[in-house]
Parts: sequence; structure tokens; C-alpha cells
Amino acid sequence: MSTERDSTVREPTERELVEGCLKEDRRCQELLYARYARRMYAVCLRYARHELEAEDMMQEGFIRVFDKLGSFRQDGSLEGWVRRIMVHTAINHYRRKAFQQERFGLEKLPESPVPETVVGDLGTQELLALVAALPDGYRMVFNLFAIEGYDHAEIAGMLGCGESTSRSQLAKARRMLQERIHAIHEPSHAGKASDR
Amino acid sequence: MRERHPIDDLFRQGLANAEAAPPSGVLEGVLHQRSRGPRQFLRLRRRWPLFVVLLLCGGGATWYAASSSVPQGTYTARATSNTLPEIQASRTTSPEITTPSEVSPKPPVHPGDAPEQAALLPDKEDGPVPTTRISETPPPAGTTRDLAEGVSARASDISEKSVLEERSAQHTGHEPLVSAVVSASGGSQGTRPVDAPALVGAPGVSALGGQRPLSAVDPVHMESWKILMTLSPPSSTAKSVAPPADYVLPQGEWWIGAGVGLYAVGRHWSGEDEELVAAWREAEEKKRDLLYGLYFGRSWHSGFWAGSGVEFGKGRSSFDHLDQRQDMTMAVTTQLATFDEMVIAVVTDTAVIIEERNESFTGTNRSSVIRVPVLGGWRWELRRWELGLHMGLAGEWHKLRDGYVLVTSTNYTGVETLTTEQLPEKDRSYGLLSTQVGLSAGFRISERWVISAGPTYHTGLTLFSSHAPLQALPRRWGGLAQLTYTLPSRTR
Repeated sequence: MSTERDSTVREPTERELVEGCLKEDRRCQELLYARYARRMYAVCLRYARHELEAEDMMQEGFIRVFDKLGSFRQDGSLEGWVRRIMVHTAINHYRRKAFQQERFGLEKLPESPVPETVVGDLGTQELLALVAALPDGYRMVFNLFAIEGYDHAEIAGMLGCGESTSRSQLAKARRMLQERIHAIHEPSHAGKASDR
Repeated sequence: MRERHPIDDLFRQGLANAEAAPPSGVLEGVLHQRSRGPRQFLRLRRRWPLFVVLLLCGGGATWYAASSSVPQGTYTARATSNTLPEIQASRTTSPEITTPSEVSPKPPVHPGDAPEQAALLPDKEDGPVPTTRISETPPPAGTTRDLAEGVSARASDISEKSVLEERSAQHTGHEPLVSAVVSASGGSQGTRPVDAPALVGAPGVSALGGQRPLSAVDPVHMESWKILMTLSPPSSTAKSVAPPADYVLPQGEWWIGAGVGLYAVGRHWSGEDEELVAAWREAEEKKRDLLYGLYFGRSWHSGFWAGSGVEFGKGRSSFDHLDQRQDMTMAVTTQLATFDEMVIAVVTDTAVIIEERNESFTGTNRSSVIRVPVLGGWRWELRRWELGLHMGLAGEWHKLRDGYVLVTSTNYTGVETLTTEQLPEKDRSYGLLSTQVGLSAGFRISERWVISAGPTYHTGLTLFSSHAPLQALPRRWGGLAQLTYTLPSRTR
């Protein structure tokens, strides 16, 4: 019986969810959270250094989502809107930390192409770990440019730095990631070679 | 053209739609947070102007209540014996404080009144002393002349102090409030408040109310005559060290200050190249300047002041421009029709190829500015509050640090966007003369510290270099908050 009843209960649409949340309907809030929590947490993990920070971002981001839901225009995707709020929450976190002056001697890092086999080898967890290990400034720029698709002018505006800074941080982030991917890749190949 | 990189692709594919299980309890935390603190705080934060007004009103009311709740010149001491009845002080406004020589003596007192009278005055001028015990030792005999001289000398001293206190009070903008505490033993006669001027003016006991015979007054007790002189808040004025006898009230006072201003800035563009002017107007959006400043100046008792200083600021504005270039190339083609080495027809055709390129430049322009204002103004003081207005001129030196600029293209017709790196250093800086006007409301935290804030408007007048093809004159509208300190005057 209950299965039949469940099957007839349809998922609320985005509009219904938004309207319910605006009325402070607890069930709608839970549904909205459940719908986007996993993806948004992955976004937070990309911008955070560790899980605790990601959890903070996630909580702050969803508070803003619920607070500002009234300003959401129904003509766009709700997921995209929630995602933008998460990204901006992460940027605010970054600004508060003021770790923008990091300097690393990255000039020694090699510039070489990424082996294609690596793409298949690395899972989401490994990629997240690689991004999380980047210095804050590099991580922000890399995430915004490579994954969110913002250009340098937009990134400069969002982070309050110059475009040239954004470019150089992106280049350094890429080189650092390459270096670390090579470090992961080479021991595994060395292991395969020795197996033979 | 967006640059692509294999690392970007690798991470985009792997992470763009990644999912991860969030820790439990996040939703509960979100809902809990929203149900109280931050949300209410956000609501309250939007009403900050109301809170500022309430705070200022509350502060003013508290100060007013505190200053007026001081008993109006009444300090009562409980007598330890019948010889010490109430000691009462009178604190009255003394608009006319005169020297003893200028005051006519009061009528002589009635002989046979109580033998002891005392006035209270703390030995140090650091505030009122509510109770005083006076010795009951029988007084040695004294003469009226002794008493008169003693009181006269004291009165002279008081007068001098009163004049100085009055100057000091004028100096700080407060009413000079002079208190005299007069006491008499004998109980039956009671006491009555006495104005300091009256006391000062009386060369004898008449200053005490004219109720005691001079002959009965003990000269030793005359030493205990005290005059309590207090000033209304700030109480620190009462602690001022007595200046030398030839003290002359300074004409003005030097002050130093620090301030911060936040302004919305627009630039008025003008020049011969109308296309460039129009492009700039369209490309640049209103920006924000934050200016920090150090100031100094001199203020006079009339309320006028003049000052100067230096301000340093950083500004940013958004830039958005679409470069629309039209590259035109002309090709001339000639076609010959020949027959048996004979040219039958020649057709010459000119092909015009117009190539249109659109390139968008969006970003934030960052600039810095140094201002040197020379200002004059006037302040009106009401107790601890100040209202003022100021105006003046300022030299400004601007430098574009990072961003884009528009120039008339040398390669094709139209306007071209360049980055600051492509500009020569000298073209990134310019100086101009501006004027400013503003209002301020201030509060005197203590005798020397004043905090003030108010709206201010700056507008550029002219560039220093008149041959510039394009003039960009800033117009700022915002608020300036200042903290000033009045330097101690040097006595001579």
C-alpha cells in the first residue's frame, strides 16, 4: 500500500520548492537541501583546504541560499543559482583569510604534458585532494577559471586582484598540479615496469 | 580566445559534476542558525542608521542628564556638633566675574552673629568636597581688619582663578560655572548660598550673607574659608594648572587630526575628441574611492579654522568596452580578354574587403590618488556638540595602477582599448585642482579630542596640464569621519 502511495507522490518542481522555502516550509527546505547538497558539498570541497572548512562553507552557503531565495528569478536554473552562491561564499571565505600573498618558488617546476593514462587513473577523490593541496590563491583561481569557466577579468573582479595576478596564479597552479600528477603517475608506472 | 590547457580539461571532466556526501547535521545547523542569530543580525544590520541616531541621542541625553543631575550647588555636610550646621554650597553661573577692586563693598554685617563661619574649598582644585569638619577649638581673637584683609586676599585669589577658569571654560566652549561654598557655625542662623562674584566682591563678611559680625569671626577659621570652584564637564578643565600671573589667553589653538572618507566617484569627461569622450562615458562605471588623511590646522575662538593635510586613497571602477574595429583592405583586379595576342577588353575591378572585429574588454580599473587640501571652515559649538562647515581647494595627483584605458587608435579609425602595461608611465598619471565643500557634526569626547563626521563633496576644476586632449575631472560624494586633537596651548 505504502509503495503505491509513494509512487503517486511526485517530486516538487523547482518553483514549488522555492515557494515552499519562502514560506519557511521545513519540508521544502529539507527537499531543496537534499536535492543539491551532494553537488554543493563537492563544490565546497574544491574551494576548501579541508573538510571542516568545506562544512563551514556549506552551512554558510545554504544559509545564504535560504535567506536570498526571494531574489531568485525563476527564469534560470536553481542549481546554477545555488552553485553561484556557494562559489561566492567560498570567495568570501578566501577574502577573510587573506592568504593572498602566498609566494612559492614554483619556477623550478617542470612544464610537461599530462599523460593521457592519468586521466583514467585519477578518481574524484584524488582530484579533490590535488586541488585541496594547492595554496589558497592558486586554488581559488584554478577553480574559478578551469572548472567554473570564469575569465581572468571576472576572477580579478571577484578576488580583488589584478588580471595579471590571476593569470600568473593560474599558471602556477597548473604547474603545481602537473608536478603532483607526475609524482603520482611515475611511481605507478615504475611499479608496472618492475612487475614485468 | 580562451586559453585551454589539458590540466583544466582533466579537472573539469573529473570535478565539474562531482558529488560528495555532506556530513550529517549541516541542514540542522543551517536551520538552527536561520532561526535566530545571524538572520536577526542581518535584519538589524540594515537598520544601522537608526542605531547610530539612537546612540548619538542616547549619548547626548546621558551626558545632559549627568551634567544637570549634579546638585545645583548644594553639597550638604552633616554637622558633628552644634557648632557645625549645614554646609551649603552654591553653584551658579557667573557671567560677570570681576576683580575685587571693581566690586563695591557690601553693606556691613550685623554684629553679634555666630562667631564661626567657614567656607569650603578643596585645597586642590580637583572637584567638590561634600563634607568638611571644622575644628571646634576656640578661636583666638581677631579683628575685623584682619578678617577683611584675609577675605579680601582670598577673594582676590578667587577672582583671579575665576577669571582664568572662565577663560578656560570659554576655551573649551562651556559655560563657566563657579561655585562657592560657604559655611557658618552657630546653626541658628543657617546658611545661604552665595554667588562667587558676590563673595569675590565682598571685602568682608558681607560676602557670607551679611549675617556675622566681623569681630566675632576667628581669623584661624578664616584660613578654613574655602571657596569651591568647579567647572561644568569636562571636569578635566578644573585640573588645569594655574598659569602664570601674566598669562594671556591664546588667540588660537593648533590641532592635528586623522580622517577617513568613503566616496562614490564619477568622472566628468570632456575634450576635443567626442568619440573618445563618449566611449569613456560609456565604458567606465561609477567607482569608489577610499581616502585616508592626516590633517593639521589652527582654530580661533570665533569658531573659524583653517587647515591643511595630505590624503591618500585608492579607487576602483569597473570598465567595460567593446572594441569594434573595421579593417578595410582594397584589392584591384584586372581582367584582360585577349585574342591572338591582341587585347580585346580590359576590365578593372576594385574589391573592398571590410573586416569587422569585435573584442570585449571587461575589468576593474585600479588607481591611487594623493590629495593635498587647503581648507577653511567654521564651527558652532553647543555644549559638547559641534556643527561645522568647511570648504577649500585641493591639489590631486592620480595614477592609474592597473586596468584598461581608451585611446584613439592609430591603426584604424575608432577607439581602441589598451592595458596599462601598454601605456607609457607618464600617460598613466595626471594632476588636477579640485574644490571641496562639506558639513560636519562632531562630539567632544574630552577637552581636546573631538570626533566628527559629515557629508563632503569634491569636484575637479581643471587639470594641471592644459594640453591634455582629454579631461577627466572627478566628482566625489561621500562621508568624511575625523578625529582631531587640540594641542595644549603654550603659556607665556
